[in-house]
Amino acid sequence: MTYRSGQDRRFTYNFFERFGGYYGGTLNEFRVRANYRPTAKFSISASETWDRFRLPLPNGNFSVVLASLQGNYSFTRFLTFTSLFQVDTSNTQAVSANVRLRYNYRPDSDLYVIYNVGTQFASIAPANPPQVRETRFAVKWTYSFAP
Amino acid sequence: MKNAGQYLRRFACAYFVFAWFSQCESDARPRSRGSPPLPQAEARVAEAVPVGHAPKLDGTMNDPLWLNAKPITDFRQREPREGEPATEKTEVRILYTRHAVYFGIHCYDSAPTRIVATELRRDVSQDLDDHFEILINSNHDRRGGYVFEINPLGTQSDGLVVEEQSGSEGTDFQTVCITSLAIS
Repeated sequence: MTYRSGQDRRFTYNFFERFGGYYGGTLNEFRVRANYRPTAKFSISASETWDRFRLPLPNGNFSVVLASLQGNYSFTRFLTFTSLFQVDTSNTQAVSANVRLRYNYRPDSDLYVIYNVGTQFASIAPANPPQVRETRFAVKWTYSFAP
Repeated sequence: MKNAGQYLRRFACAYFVFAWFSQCESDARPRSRGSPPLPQAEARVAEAVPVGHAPKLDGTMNDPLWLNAKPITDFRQREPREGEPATEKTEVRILYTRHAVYFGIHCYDSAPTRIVATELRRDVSQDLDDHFEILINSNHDRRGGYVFEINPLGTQSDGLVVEEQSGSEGTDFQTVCITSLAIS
């Protein structure tokens, strides 16, 4: 079940709810998302998802919350900068940030520059120190000989 | 004729010239093989015309090659009244060469100031924008295909449909497609 606001507006929002059987148990999921697009070049969105699992397993009753904040800036339709900040409460209680630059310099050929920072906590409580911190920088270049 | 001219000026005309290059040696088959034909009343055919070389990709259909193609105009609504005639006029012409398929798309809009075009990012959903979508079911099994989208800013998105599911979209799936655009 989905409800969406007027999609031709700069500010849009939507709600999504589903409930049903899931691997012998049930899953109840609710999502909310808001987008703001002041210009074609810049947009920002925030979303949150709640998943409530009831599974016929030991410790099968649990919830996962996933929240994200994303910002995008497109210099042209071939060059885009994207940043994503995400928090979830699944097993590792992770927080991560991702920034990515994509340059589509010719058809089917791209250059990506990606930077990731991720941290896992024992729980989301403020007193818990970070358990694992991962930082990754990647450059990916593809070239298609076909065009 | 004066009234017709005034009428036509009310339209914003967006021309998309879209070329999809096949990376293999498959030929563009405008007609099916082996599948039973639909009843005549339901059969809706988009005819692709072979040409010896590529048309000029400049965002217009001024190249005389486009005159070889039979325009496709009988479009229908998907929302809100599925199956009813489209509320805006659209003309599409399809050409193909040995290695590529070319779509010339002319989208009229009776309210040009209200065209929604907000997405410049490649390979993300264009559902919030006005956009044109091409779905090619090259196996003619009605269960899969290649999807190409373009919005009024010229932003592209492509994807793959496998067994009626969106199998691979966005950066996981890339095709060689070139788009040029003009809005008048």
